[in-house]
Amino acid sequence: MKPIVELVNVSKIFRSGGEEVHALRGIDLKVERGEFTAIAGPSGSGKTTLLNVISGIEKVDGGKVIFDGIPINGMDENALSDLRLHRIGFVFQAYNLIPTLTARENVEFILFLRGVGEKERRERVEKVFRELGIENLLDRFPHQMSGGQQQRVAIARAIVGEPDIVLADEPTANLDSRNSMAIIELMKNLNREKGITFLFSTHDPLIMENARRIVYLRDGEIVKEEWK
Amino acid sequence: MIWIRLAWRNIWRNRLRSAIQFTIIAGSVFLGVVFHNLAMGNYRNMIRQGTRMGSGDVAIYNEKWFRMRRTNFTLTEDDVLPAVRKLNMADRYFLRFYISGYARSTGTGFPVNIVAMQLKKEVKDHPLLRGTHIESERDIIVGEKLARKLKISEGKRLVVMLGMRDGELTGLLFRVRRVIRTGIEEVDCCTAFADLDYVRNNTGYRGHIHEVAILLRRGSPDEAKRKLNELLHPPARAYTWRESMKELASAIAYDYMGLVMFMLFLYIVISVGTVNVLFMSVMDRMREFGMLRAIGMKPGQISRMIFTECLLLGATAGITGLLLALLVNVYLSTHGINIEGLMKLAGQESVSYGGVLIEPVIRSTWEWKGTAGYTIFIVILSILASWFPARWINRKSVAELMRR
Ligand SMILES: Nc1ncnc2c1ncn2[C@@H]1O[C@H](COP(=O)(O)OP(=O)(O)OP(=O)(O)O)[C@@H](O)[C@H]1O
Ligand SMILES: [Mg+2]
Repeated sequence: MKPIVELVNVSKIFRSGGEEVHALRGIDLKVERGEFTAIAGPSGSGKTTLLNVISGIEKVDGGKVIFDGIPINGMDENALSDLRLHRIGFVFQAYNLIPTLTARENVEFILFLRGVGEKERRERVEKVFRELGIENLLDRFPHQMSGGQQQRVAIARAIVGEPDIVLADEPTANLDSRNSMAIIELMKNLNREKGITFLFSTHDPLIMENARRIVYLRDGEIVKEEWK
Repeated sequence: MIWIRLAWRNIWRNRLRSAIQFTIIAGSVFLGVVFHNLAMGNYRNMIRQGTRMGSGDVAIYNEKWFRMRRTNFTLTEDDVLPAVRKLNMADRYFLRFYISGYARSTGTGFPVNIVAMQLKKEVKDHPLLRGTHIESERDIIVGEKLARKLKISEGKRLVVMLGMRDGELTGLLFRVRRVIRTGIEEVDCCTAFADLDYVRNNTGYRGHIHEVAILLRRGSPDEAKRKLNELLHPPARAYTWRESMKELASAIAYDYMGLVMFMLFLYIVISVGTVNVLFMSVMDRMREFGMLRAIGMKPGQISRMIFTECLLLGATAGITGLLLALLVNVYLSTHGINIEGLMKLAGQESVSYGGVLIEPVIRSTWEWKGTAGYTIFIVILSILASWFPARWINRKSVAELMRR
């Protein structure tokens, strides 16, 4: 089977005020279906850039990004939007949810954008909340939830459309250690029980511990890989 | 439904900003509709006064007289009255005969324009003459300045020298029935209103007229003009009030143009304001738009989201402004605005405009076309304003938006 994500010699250079920052330098990486992989590295090592390059949010300056066998380098904005909507789930560090929509509506929004009918939307949303054990959050607005609760809702949104891969950029960075552990456990269970592929970044060693594969980044280069 | 729900909640999210935008839109609809209907009411009043004072809704003239105003280009009653009767749109009509002469009193003399008319009939309608009691065919109504120059007053005698049809000169004796002060210079300085038959029969023009002024019972002036011209034979021709009272028609057109210019200026200011408010609201939410783009929303859908917000706000504000304006219009159309105080301030006793006297109370009217026009125009403008911030946001890359 072909890998879900494949990066071939990918580089990314940021230019700001005459200064060049090589955020990624010749990255080669394959992510297979069913992986539960962490991207680890200090601040500024290129973790966010790497995840953004995979989803087409950030354009590359060299090399190829291949999603499920299809190169995405030349895709236009609408095609990339469709790719992200239909095949990728996202969890960000913060500002994950639309503040004017309830948890239920936030999760439903993905299905709405995909054109799923109202009844099916409701069923699928409630099912996901039940699986994650957060039915009590259904009708709360983001400002009525704690950071940990918001991240759980974000995970619900990321998996409700059954994507091929979930990209999570430091999903626990804003949480205390207990909540961080709970979130990583939740993701791990989803990976184990439902086979959802996760690629997440973190600089927290305790979180890294939970991954089955750890890719170490430094100055935009992969310096080490670990399998467990 | 989700778009609308989202838009609605986003409107409530920043209440101050939405309130500003709402007020701008509702306020401009309000101003537009109120001013339009007030102006229309004023024009309607001017036209009413004008048509009653002047040439009616439609008038018939000898086309040469219409162009050159020479006394001998007349029509006969037999030429035109059959057509007027056949028209069956007329409510009333008035026959008039215009002739210039030289007014003499003891010691002095001045030129005068005589309007010879069916005085007994005209005093019921004519805004300047209304209420005058006419007793004899020699009664004459004289403009105030002319009377002063001639040193005559009500009850005094007056002789007017007139050229006859055959070239001879004649002098007609009148008695001043009333001196009128209108505020219209041409009338006050140099006009006198006299009896139709007395003037024309004594100048050799028995049965002749210069003007038939028709007030319509129904139908438009243009329609009446067309029908009359089918019935009339040259040189008799029908003209609408717009043609026969060009001054009034152009005064109204200029005035309305002024209003439209003012409104356009207001709307430009308002549009710039709206766009600014929209920009602020969009810039505040850049991060959110970035997140939405990241999870798979297309640029078109972002535009649609902003557009829906504007549409909702614009429509509710438009309706509110319209309702408020209609409420005020109910008052203005029944009570009106009294501008007498303003006139006194300006040192005038009456206001004339385009050769027509304006009543001191301006009442607005209900003019639905303009009302709907202003409302729709403003609402559409306010909605189109969403295009700028939407384009601006969509030109930024997703990564750029997310970094905010
Ligand atoms: N828009 C940008 N302009 C200039 N430099 C940038 C830009 N975005 C990222 N960089 C630089 O690229 C490098 C990689 O950044 P990136 O955000 O990927 O790091 P990170 O590993 O996610 O760090 P953190 O742990 O702080 O989130 C950094 O040196 C950063 O300063
Ligand atoms: Mg980062």
